[in-house]
Parts: sequence; C-alpha cells; structure tokens
Amino acid sequence: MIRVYIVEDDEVTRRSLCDRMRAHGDFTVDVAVGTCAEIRIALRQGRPDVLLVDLGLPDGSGVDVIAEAATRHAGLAIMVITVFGDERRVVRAIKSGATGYLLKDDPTHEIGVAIRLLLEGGSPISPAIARHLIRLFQPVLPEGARNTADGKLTAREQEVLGLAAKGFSYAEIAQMLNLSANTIASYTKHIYEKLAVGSRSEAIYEASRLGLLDRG
Amino acid sequence: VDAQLATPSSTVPAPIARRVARLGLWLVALLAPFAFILAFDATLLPRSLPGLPRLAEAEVIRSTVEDPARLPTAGWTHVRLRHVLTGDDTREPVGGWFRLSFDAGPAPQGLWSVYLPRPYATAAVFVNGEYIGDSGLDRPFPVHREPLRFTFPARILNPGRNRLELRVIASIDNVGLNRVYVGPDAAIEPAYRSTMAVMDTSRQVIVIMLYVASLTMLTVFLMRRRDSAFGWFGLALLFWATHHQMYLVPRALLDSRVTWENIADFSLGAYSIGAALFTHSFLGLRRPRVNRALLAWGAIGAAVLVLYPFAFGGDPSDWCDYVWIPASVAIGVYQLSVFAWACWQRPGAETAMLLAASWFMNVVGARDALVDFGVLPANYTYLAFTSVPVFIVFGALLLRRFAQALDTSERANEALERRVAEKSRELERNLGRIKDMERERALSTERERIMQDMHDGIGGHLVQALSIAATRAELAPVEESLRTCLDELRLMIDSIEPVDGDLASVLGTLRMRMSRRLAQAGVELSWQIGDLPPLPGLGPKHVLEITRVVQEAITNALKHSGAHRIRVAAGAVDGRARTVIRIEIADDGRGFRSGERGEGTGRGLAGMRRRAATLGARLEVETGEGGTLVRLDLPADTRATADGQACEKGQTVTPERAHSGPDE
Repeated sequence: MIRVYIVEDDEVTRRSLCDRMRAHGDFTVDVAVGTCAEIRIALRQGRPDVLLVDLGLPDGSGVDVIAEAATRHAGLAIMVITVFGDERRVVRAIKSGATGYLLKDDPTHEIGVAIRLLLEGGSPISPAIARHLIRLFQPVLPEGARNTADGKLTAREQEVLGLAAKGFSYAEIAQMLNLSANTIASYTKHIYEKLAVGSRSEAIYEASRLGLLDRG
Repeated sequence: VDAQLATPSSTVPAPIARRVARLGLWLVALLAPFAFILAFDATLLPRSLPGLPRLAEAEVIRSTVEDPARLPTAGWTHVRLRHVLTGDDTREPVGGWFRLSFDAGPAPQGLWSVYLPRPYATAAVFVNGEYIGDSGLDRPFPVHREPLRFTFPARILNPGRNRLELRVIASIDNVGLNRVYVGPDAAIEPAYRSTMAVMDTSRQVIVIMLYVASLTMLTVFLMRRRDSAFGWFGLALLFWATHHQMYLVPRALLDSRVTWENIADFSLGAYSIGAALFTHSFLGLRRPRVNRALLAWGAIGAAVLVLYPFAFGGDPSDWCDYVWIPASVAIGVYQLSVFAWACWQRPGAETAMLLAASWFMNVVGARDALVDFGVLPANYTYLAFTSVPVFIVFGALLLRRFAQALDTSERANEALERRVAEKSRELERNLGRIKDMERERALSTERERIMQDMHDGIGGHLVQALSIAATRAELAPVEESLRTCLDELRLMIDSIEPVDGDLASVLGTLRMRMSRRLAQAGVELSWQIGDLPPLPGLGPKHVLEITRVVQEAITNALKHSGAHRIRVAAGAVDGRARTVIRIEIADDGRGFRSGERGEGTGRGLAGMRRRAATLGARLEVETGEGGTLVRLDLPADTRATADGQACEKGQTVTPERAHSGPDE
C-alpha cells in the first residue's frame, strides 16, 4: 500500500480527495489535515510515500511545506494539488521541491496514474509548464532577468520540453524519439529536480547576499 | 605619400601623374620670384625710350664742388654707365660729378627733360652749366625708389651737341649714375608717368591695403585672443606696411633722414620678428624659448632706436646696418627654413603654399638687398609688390582656417544637438519601455491577484460543488455542467498567462484541457503541430479567440460528426504576400449540410467566423461525405489586429468553399 499524506484546507475537497484515493485501492491516506502546523507535526513523526499539498493554506504557504518536506525527507514524492494546474503555481511548487501535480477534480484513476508515474521516477508536464521551463533554462535571458535554473538542459531534455510544449503526450514523444514513455517521464522529473536545485542555490545566494546566512 | 604608396598596383599611373603635376607646381613656385623680377624689370626699365637714345658714355670725377663752373678740367675718367663711385666708408656724404654729352638736334623746341629712371643717389642737374633742379641735396637719401625727371626749356639748348652735368650725392658708399635720358618732355613724360604710377601710386595703394589688412587681423585677434596667429600676422603686416610707407612719406613730413631710415629699418626687423612668431603660431609649433628670444630682440631693437640718440648722440645707423638688418635677414631665413621643415614634416597644400610664398618673398627681398648694396645694377626694389600675392596667400590660409574652425564648431554643435536629440529619444524610449514594464508588472500583479481569488474562491467552490455532485448519481447533469464550467474557467485562465508568442503551446494546453473529453468520446486524435514561428503580438485576447475557434471545431467534431479520427495540425505556410499560420481541424465524420444539425452548429460556425474576423484571420470550412475540415489562417504578426479592431480582411471567407450556417 502506498502511504499518502494530504494537506488541503477545504474540507469538502479534502474528503473528496481522500475518498478517491481510497477508492483506488492502492493507497492509504494516513494523514489528511488542513493546516501547515498539522502537516509539519505529521511530517516530523513519519514519512509518507506521497505528499499532496495545497498551496493556499490558512496558516501559511504550501510552498514552505513542500520545501520543508523535501529537505526533511529526501526523495519524497511531493505533489501540488491545484484547481487549475496553472503554470505559475505548479512551477513555484516545483522550485520548492515538488515533482508532480494533481488537479483537485482529477478522477480517481487519473490520480492513480499520476502517483504511479511519480513513484516510478517520472513527472507529469503540461505544455504551459514546458513552455515556462524552456524560458527559465534559456541560456540567454532577456535583460534584467537572472537565469534561475542551475545548470543546463541536455539536448534531449530540451527536445522533450519542446515537444511537450507543443502538446504531445509522453507516448507520442517516446515514439518520435524512439524511447520509452517512462524514460520521457523521467527526463521531466530530472528537469524538475534541476530547477529545484537551481532555485535552492539561488535562494542561498540571495540569503547570503542579504546577510541572512553565516559564512562557513 | 605613404597612402599613395599603399594603393594597389592597378592605380599606379594616377600617382605618377600626380607626382609629375606636383613637381611641376614646385618648379613654378621655385621660379615664380625670378619671373616676377624679370617681368617688373622689363616693364619698368625699357632698354630705350621711343625715339630717345640712352646716354651710355660719361666722364666722371670725385669732387664735392657745388658749381659746375668750378669743376677742374683735369682728372676726369671716361666710363660707361652704369658707374658707381665707391665711398670711403666714413658715412659722410660722398659726392661726384658726371659729365655727359647729348645731341639736341638742329632746332630743339618746347619743354625738354632729363630723365633718370632709377638713379643711385640724390642728384642735381645742370644743362650747359645751367642749374635745372635737384632731388633734395640738403637731405641726401641712400636710395631712391622713384624715378627723377627734371624739365627745362629748350632755349637753353644749343643746336647739336649739348653738355649735361650731374652732381650725385649719397649718404652711403655707393653713389653713382645709372641710365640717363635727355629729350623732349613729350617723349619722356609718358614713361615717367607710368613708372611713377607703378613705383609710387600703386605702392601707396598696396601699403594702404596692408594697413587695412593689418587692422582687420588685429581686430579679429582682439575679438578672439586664443588665435594668436591673427595677432602676430596683424603685427607683422603693420610693421611691413610701415617699412614700405617710409619710402613713400613726403619728405616734408619727416625732416630727419635718420628718423626716416631708422624707422624703416626697425620696421623691417620688427616685421621679421612678427612673421616668425606668426609662423610658430600658425603651424602650431610650441617654441616658447625662441618666442621669448624673438620678443626680447624686438624690445632691444625698439630701445636702441629710441634711446641711442640720447645715450650716444648721433644715430644708430651702424647698429642698423651691421646688427639689426643682418639679424632680420637671419630671422627671415629662419622663418623660411621653418616653413620648409613644416612642408617636409606635414606635406600638404597649406604648408606648400606657405613655403612657396615665403620663398617668393625671400628671393625678391634678397634681390632688393643686392640692388641696395650695389651688388646688382641700380634698379627699383620690388619687395613691396610681393606683399600682394604673398599676403593674400597668408591671409587666405588664415581666414580659411578661421572658417574651418567656425565650420567645425558648427558641425560640433550640430553633432551635439543630434546626440542630445538622440539621447532624449532614447530616454523617451526607455521611459516608454519602463512604462510598458510597469504596466506589464501591474497587469501581472493584477492577474496574480485574480488568479489567487479564483483559486481560493470560485475555483475552490466549483471543485467543492463538483465533488459533492459526483457523489450522487442523480446530480450527473449538474456535475457535467460544473465540469464544463471549470473547463471554461481553466481556458480563460490559460489564456491570460503570457505565452511569449508560442502558439504551439497554446494549442497544446487546449489539447490537455480537452484530453478527458477526447478520451471519453473514444476518438483517436492525430496531433500534428509543427514548428511555428514566434508570433510577436500574441496577447490574451488572441489566445482566447484562437483557443475558442479550435475548441469549437473539435467540439463540433466530437458532438455531431460521429468521427473516429480527428486531426489537428498547425504550421507556417508561405502565403502570397506574407507568411500565415495555418491551423486545421479535420475529422472523418459525416460532415454537414447548410442548415443541418440544428442551431448549435450554426451558432458555432457564426461564432468561429466572428472570432476569426477579430483575429484578422481567414476561416474556411469544407465539409462533405468524407468529413469536415476547418482551416484557420492567422497572420504571422497579430499585433495589427489587436484589441478587437476587427480587420476587414478577416471577413474574406471564400464563399464557394465555406458552408454557411443557417443564420448567416
């Protein structure tokens, strides 16, 4: 059984999500809470296989929860749950350490597919997110912008992102590039991780610049 | 010269021709002063006057006797004119007598003249022992610059041979006699008059011009102190003019020969100093020590001129002759060498002209000096005449430089203005860009706020309602409606995100949003999105309109056609005039006829047309047994058709191909 923690402040949605998870059969929802404080305690006490995080929480931001969870439990599969799956929110979550996302109204089997994908080392992507990532990893950014991504994308990764941005599914991309769909999904996850690492080093850089961190 | 050497070999003939031409010009400049001298000589000193023989034979005797009657009968020497009596170097006036004989013809009548076109000295003239006139015996001048003519009545003449006696006196060593003509005044007067016109009148005109030029230059200098070249040039001109004026001053004005001579000498020296300083200034040579020495030398000269009579009595003629004038010549030679050096260092028309002018002046000046010192036959001096060409060259170069400076400063001003204008434009552009960025940021903030609201508010509630509806079977229609609602909202939210002109990702997003419905319908989707050029003007409005058109086409295919396959393709197509982005949605369904399939289709088609028009795009719909094809041709740059300014061209739907809906 796959152990799932959920933090989602809307009770109806939370319960609905729990129902769908349970309905799937492969998942047990061990923790389903509505605040940052509660999930922090839960994460201190145990480690789930998957953590689902809503970004807008009453006592803080889900982004912080994601960052903390990613630091505390390395390799934890974290997914952001959003209404729209819009690129801003998702990319923000990815930067803090999430590697997947769910729409709050995704039907049961889709949730299952997405979590399976994640646990098998792949990440979902949408064209808008792919477009956003392509821009973030651009070697030359428009004036004033700092390249927030650490490191560069490989040619393959760029290729995958480009096709994903055009709306091709993993299966289609896999066929075009003569690879397996799982490999494509793992490329995406790699890219997400690169972005998160880049964001963290950027955050450290920013913090040290502001004198928030001690040297050495 | 270097530049010419560097030119490719194919253009060799041109530099050679130019070199020859340049050599020719140098040759002309080299010979110009000699030609000038010869031309003046030929004009002013004709070999003979019409009908009058030049008297070439004379007897001469050194004597200070004033009356020809008292002249000794013995001791005369037979000479050919010109003849010079060498003095004893005492500075006392040297004197002597020349006796000539001429033929007055059988019956001389009217007015006759003795004409000395270029005498060496002050002279007194006697014909047949009778006094006729003199050129100022009480104040002998060292050199005469003008011809002498003494008229007398023919009645003192005898038919046949007559006797002409000339007493010559001069303040310097060489006193002598040059050409002598005697004849009817009618034959002499024109020659005398024309020579006088050249040697006296025109010289006076030149000197006045020089004064005017000098004052002009000095005025320019006073108004523009930085250009010291004007000041030195004006000063040099002033002294130069004064030097020459001294030979033109009516003698009554300057009663002292000493004053006259010394002012002339001093002026010449002062001129050479001013000219040397001008040379430095004009060529931009920094030689402060030489400049100081020159100025000091000028001050010494002036002091000697003024103080000598008081300190030592007498006059500083020796100082002038043996120190001041040689020094002036040395300074002149120095100036010439500086010009030559400059010409060598900086070859160019300007330095070449300066050198040529200076050479011209120095040659003529040297020749004049040789005449004055008796080395060359007595003659007129021409130096004053060189002023005209030489100073025109100098003045023109100076004024040209002045004009160039004005031009340069004007151009600099213009350039400055242009740059200021450019900078202000740039500033405006930057301000505009900043404004754009601020607007963009404000929009972005606003977008973020609305998104947040939607997420927490309406979006959250929709999801809530959906999850409630999903739990009860009887609420299925509500659930469906809510899902559509949520999909619509997502479409709108997708459209307000900046897409950086990436139409492919817009279509991709639409596919993702519709993937569930496509999957439910069991339709096979063929997704053929090629590389699209970035569309610079692709704003939220365009995104939404394009999305709606494509969505409508897919929805129609899903709902009504019963298709098994839907193909969505997009790519750039080179149109007649411009590149268009073509989006095609094709199905293998039943197709439809006009008016068929109820209002929904009609309204859908009409809506698609309207949206296409807003986009400035062209919409074509082909339908038939094999299915339906919707084709949307978008202009590659959508900027022109932003914000609902519907482009008329968008309406041009090919009528025979487009199947109109019932309400069209």
